[in-house]
Amino acid sequence: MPAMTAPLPEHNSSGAVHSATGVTTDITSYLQLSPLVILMFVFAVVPLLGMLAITFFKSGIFGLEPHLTVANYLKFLGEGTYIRVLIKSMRIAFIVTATTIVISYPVAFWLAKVVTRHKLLFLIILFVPYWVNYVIRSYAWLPLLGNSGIINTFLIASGIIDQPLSWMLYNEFSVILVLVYVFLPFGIVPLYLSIDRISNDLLQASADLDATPIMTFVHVILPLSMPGLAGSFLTVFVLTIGAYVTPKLVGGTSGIMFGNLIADQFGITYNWTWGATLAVILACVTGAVVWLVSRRVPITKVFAQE
Amino acid sequence: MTAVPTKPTEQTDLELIGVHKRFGTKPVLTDINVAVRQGEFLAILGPSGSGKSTLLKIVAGFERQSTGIVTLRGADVSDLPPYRRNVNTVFQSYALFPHMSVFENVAYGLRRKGVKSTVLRTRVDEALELVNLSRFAERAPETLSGGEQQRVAIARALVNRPAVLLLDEPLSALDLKIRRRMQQELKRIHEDVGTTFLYVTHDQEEALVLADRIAVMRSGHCEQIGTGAEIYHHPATRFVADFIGETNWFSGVFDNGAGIIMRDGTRLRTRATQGVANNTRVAVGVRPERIRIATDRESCRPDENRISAMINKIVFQGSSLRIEGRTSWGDPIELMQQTDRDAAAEPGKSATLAWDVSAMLLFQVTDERSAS
Amino acid sequence: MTAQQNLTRIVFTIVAAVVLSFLYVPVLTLIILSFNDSVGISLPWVGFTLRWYGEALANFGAFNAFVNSVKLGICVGIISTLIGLLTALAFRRAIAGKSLVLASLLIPLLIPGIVLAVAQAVLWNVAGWTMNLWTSTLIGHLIYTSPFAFLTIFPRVHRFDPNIEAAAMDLGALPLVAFWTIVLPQIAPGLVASFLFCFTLSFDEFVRTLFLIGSQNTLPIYLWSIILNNPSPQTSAIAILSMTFSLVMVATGSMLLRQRRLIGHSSITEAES
Repeated sequence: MPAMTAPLPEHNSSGAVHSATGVTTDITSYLQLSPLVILMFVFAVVPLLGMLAITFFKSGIFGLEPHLTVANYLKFLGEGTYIRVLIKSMRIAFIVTATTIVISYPVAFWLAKVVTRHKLLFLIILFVPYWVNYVIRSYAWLPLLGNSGIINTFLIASGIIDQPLSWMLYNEFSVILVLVYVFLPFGIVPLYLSIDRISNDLLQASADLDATPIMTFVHVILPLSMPGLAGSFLTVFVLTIGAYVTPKLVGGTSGIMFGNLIADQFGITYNWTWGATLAVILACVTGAVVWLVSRRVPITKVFAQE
Repeated sequence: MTAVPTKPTEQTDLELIGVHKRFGTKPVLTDINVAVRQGEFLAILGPSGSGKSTLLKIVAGFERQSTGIVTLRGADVSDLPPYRRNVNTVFQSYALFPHMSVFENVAYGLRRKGVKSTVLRTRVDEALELVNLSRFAERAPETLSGGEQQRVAIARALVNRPAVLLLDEPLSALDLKIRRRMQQELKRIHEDVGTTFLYVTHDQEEALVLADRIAVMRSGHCEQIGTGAEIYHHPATRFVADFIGETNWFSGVFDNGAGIIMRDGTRLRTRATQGVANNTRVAVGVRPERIRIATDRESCRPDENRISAMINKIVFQGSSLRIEGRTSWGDPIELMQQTDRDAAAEPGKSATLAWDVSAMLLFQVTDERSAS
Repeated sequence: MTAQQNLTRIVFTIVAAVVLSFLYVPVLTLIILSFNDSVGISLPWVGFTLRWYGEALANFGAFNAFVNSVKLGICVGIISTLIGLLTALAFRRAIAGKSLVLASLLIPLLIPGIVLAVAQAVLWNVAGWTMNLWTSTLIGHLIYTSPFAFLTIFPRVHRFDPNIEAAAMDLGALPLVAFWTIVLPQIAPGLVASFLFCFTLSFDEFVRTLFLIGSQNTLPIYLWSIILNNPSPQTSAIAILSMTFSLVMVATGSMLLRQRRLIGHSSITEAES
């Protein structure tokens, strides 16, 4: 039997022991990571960097003109239209996000705390409308809001008005309304998960200490549901600011959003570098908002809720 | 130091030779040498952080020692992964497979070995019979109580007829009454089956009740291995004396001719001792049950010590009385007495306490903090 | 229960009911108008007819697009669940670069879909690779769904008691056998949830698909082209049929999942334990 003198490499069986040496050298773990890492790197990180790179060039007739330039960014800052649409998109995104959160809170609270039995059933009831296709969810509002739509027909038929309300469709209002509709579940779910984790004992303790429901909300529920709130905010905001389908369907000319502008560059005009520039600008604006939110609530806490 | 295996005897089921374990630079086990005899029930006793669980994991194969060898029935198993060693573990958290019935849990190891189903059925039934759970064979683990789940875990391990059964604080999650009952069960199972048991615990009472021999661990070192009686009456270090049972500790100076001199000049007689240097600080220990209250009429025998102490409190503890006081040199002292006897002492009054010289433990104090 | 608590419950239930109605109004509108015997998609109501459903069922283009969406959805569901599982397993150990990987997972969640879609479209065009359903679209969907797969599977894997796996190996199971017989059955519900979630995300995905599709169609793309050019109640009929299909799938799926099976024991339902 050989005598062992030299220290030998540790062997950890998978999952059995948590070694205190720090970083593991087990090759299996890194192999397991590789599909995701390769996928993300090649098809997300690289393209994003590449896209950033080509914004510093201009598209010519035969491809990219081979000299670096900031002309694209200057063009953006110079032409007022694009800045206006960006600001409008941000405005719409904030309004939609705020409205969604205001609606989501009571619904999330209801699901988490008021509903005691059949929670799953109610969740399903909540989600069934979302099995209608994404595109159709916006499309379905056309027969509702239009001049000869259901709402107007009903109002005229019951004599409340005698001219159809034309301000309901093809403007910023309709875009906001429909976006709230389309993204409402994305606002409800993170909040629901967060509120669900608040122990009922805390709510009872608050009432026991003579707090009114509003005080309980402000001092107990709101702070404890911060991760969910941040999650809802970020999810809905990111989805809304890049919206394409809804503004195109129900926005008319005044409801155009930044996503539409970006898409237009890849249609007939096919101006890549300009489209990429717009996309980069949108990403930066979104990134700035995300960063600001993450300073209040750390991102990992938002997504790592179990 | 080169580790050399001892001559394999039929009587040694498990041996750890020169085992060291480091996590990075932090030493977790230092120079562990343990030979477990066939059919023995050996307890590894120590506080948390003493390395006892790591030791068990090394035997099971979940950790590898940094240096040293582990042999099983004479063969070096150091390089073998857990699924190739003929040892099985009973985990502290039971670790039953929740998606399998009790029967399938117990059968798992046999199925991995490809045991034929008729033989498998018989052996699983036997194992369930051994732990008195035959009627639970078709149940789901979560429908069983803690004690019952633990028994399934034992059956699951033993059915494979391992050379050594490893138990990692299996009873620590149970209520006191159930724990006592399970201790009896374990002892009975051990006697029935005859397999070598290696049992990790932090509960000294449990170790004393269950084990043939006890290995006391502290900070990665094995302080002493011996039977319960050996460890109790002849502790090798102050830590062992402290860890098992209760001890009163006094500090004094050792004087070769005169005994031990306490702070107020009181002299304590001691047995002839080697290895204690003259005029050095020593720690003297006396267990509470070895101290009695002496009446004035008895004279002090040459093999006993008598001191004067002020009695503070007498606590009724059911079958025993605990008498608390303070020695003439100011240290607290406790003694235990059976309740059937009158205390012969009163709080607020002084009394004479006596104990045999042979009952005294003596340790050199190596530094100011001593061996605590 | 106190009067105040009762009042709170009633108020919240009313609010929830209002919101739920808001959610269902467009759906109901869609369903009702799909029976409208009028070429326009809106009122006035002309008469009840099933002809739109007839046309929808006979619509070969729509059917093709639907089948493509289903096939793609299944692939995306399976592949992203696998990726999510592998990543979750890797995260059980202390691997170097954990935070970097987490960050890369969050990118698709925090960047507007259109930006990522544009970036990938540029990559594919510049590299000159063929763009079709099974290359660019598939990968575009995978980038989108993999983080969700991971977030669904990870909590289950994380909570899994490593001692149980250790027990399996202690009893003689090789690591892969232990994984297959012990870990997998335990995390299976998470894997199913991930598959369903990713399938739904892919099936419903529009914007990224728009930029990354080749000459084929998925259902959302097909519907979009119809809506822009030639909307009629048939569009609604197609959408309703698709929704019914999803409902049926989910209903069957959940019925199959409700029975928890114990190995070595006849199946027990949730209520029993």
